Amino acid sequence: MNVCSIEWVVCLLLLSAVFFLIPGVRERQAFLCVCNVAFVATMIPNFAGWCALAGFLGIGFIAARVLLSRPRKWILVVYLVVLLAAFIIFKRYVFAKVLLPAALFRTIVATVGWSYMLFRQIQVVVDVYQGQIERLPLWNYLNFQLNIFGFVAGPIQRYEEFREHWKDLKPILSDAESVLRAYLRIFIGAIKMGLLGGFCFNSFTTCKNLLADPDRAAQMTHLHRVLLFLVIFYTYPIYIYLNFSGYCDMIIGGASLFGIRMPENFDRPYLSRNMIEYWTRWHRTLGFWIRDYVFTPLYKAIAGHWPQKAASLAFLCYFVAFFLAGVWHGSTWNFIIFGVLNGLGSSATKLWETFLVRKVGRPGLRSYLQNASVRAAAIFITVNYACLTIYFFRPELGLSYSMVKNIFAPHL
Amino acid sequence: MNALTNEVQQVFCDVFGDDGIILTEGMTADDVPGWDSLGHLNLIIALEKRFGIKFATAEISRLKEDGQNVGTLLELIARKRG
Amino acid sequence: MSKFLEKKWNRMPPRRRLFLLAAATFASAVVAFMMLLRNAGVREVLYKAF
Repeated sequence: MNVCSIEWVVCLLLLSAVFFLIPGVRERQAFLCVCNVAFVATMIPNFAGWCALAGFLGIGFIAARVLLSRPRKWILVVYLVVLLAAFIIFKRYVFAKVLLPAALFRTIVATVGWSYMLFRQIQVVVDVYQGQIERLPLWNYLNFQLNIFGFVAGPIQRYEEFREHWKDLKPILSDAESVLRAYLRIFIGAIKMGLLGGFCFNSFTTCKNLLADPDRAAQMTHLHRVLLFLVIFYTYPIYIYLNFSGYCDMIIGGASLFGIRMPENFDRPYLSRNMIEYWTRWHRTLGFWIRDYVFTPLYKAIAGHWPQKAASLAFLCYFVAFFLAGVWHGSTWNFIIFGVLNGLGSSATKLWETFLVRKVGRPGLRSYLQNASVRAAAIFITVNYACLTIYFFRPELGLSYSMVKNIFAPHL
Repeated sequence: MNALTNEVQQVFCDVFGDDGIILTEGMTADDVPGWDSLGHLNLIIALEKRFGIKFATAEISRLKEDGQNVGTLLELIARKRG
Repeated sequence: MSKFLEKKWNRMPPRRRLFLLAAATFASAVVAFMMLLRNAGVREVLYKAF
């Protein structure tokens, strides 16, 4: 079921009203569970899909319970390696296809929501291993993984946060103003996703069709082609932003009507002054997850083994962390480029900061950061760089190349 | 100022290269230059080494949330030491 | 700019705030529903209604 649809919104409004009237935590949990399963059922097209889902959740739950009673490092490592290998094969990552036999990639299972379940799964097993989660009832775990308000495309919520609301599930909006705000957020989200996002997407598509066609491109003036490219370059990211943040608005607003506070995913990303800050403003839950479960353990391991080299190896950590954040988005070659660009952007940010500290010291850095024109320039550069990374968000690399080529030489 | 706070203050001075750091309960990352994500991790590593304790990923992450400060960090260290 | 609006919003009497919020919610609901219905292919329903 598409979130930006009349069915989803009507169901949400009706069912949240029912939820509000249900007495008792267990009854509310049961009701939400039924909604979760029904929603997931609309996303799973065949029996193979159900088997895959049951297998993934079943094995994940068993692994977590084993680690709960026997927190051994080797169990965690083996499980994570198998999990990631299965994920890479299952999502048919292109680089894996180069290395492994084709037979491994013949699956007929739809891939909605798997990337997000993977992250929730890793978070649970790591936190269980580290003693941060003391109990893991199956009821909690299943509803955490199949939570409607995170299943399709996040936000990536941590188990502990989910449990806080789930264990005492009840309406959390206490006055008329907060209820109205929730509804307003849902409707504004739908408008962002459907209307504004749709408009941007149509503009993008029109310009793309014009510029990608060498015959039509040849008929235009050079200036016209440049302008078309600029429209393409900026409207696609705007479309992605409206689509994704609109989805998050609908989800976060909807969840609050069901007693669950989902984490925010966006914080005015167009105000980011560098690519590291960008990932704390764009898809924040992903940025924080990568920081906590990739960057932190990686850096700790490096600093533990090579303490003298820790400072220079930090750049490598930034690159790897943001590269993985990029590659997680999709399995095709364009996402490798997307990942590399993100990795370069974040390590460049850190390099620049290190350079500044060396040149003007910490007080100098402080005044540099507070300077308004520097800030404006930094935002301008970062927003454009982010748009550049998003240019490679589309799988059709050939098309992305053609559009640039056609600006200069359509008939080459 | 008890002994623990003194020791932790020493670690802060070493990690951030500033002998003039004086810790107060309400201090946060904004009050210490260099206490960004990387500085936070360097601090955690140094504290783990100094006190022979281990911070979990979730604990490190929670320390960066709003409302957390040096006071909560000290409490956490005290609890881990037993 | 937004800080200025935020200050104004916080200083507004609660009833006025609620009224504006309700009006905004209603307006966005109308726009959202019309858009969602159109996307669902219910153009004819809309033409007949208006």
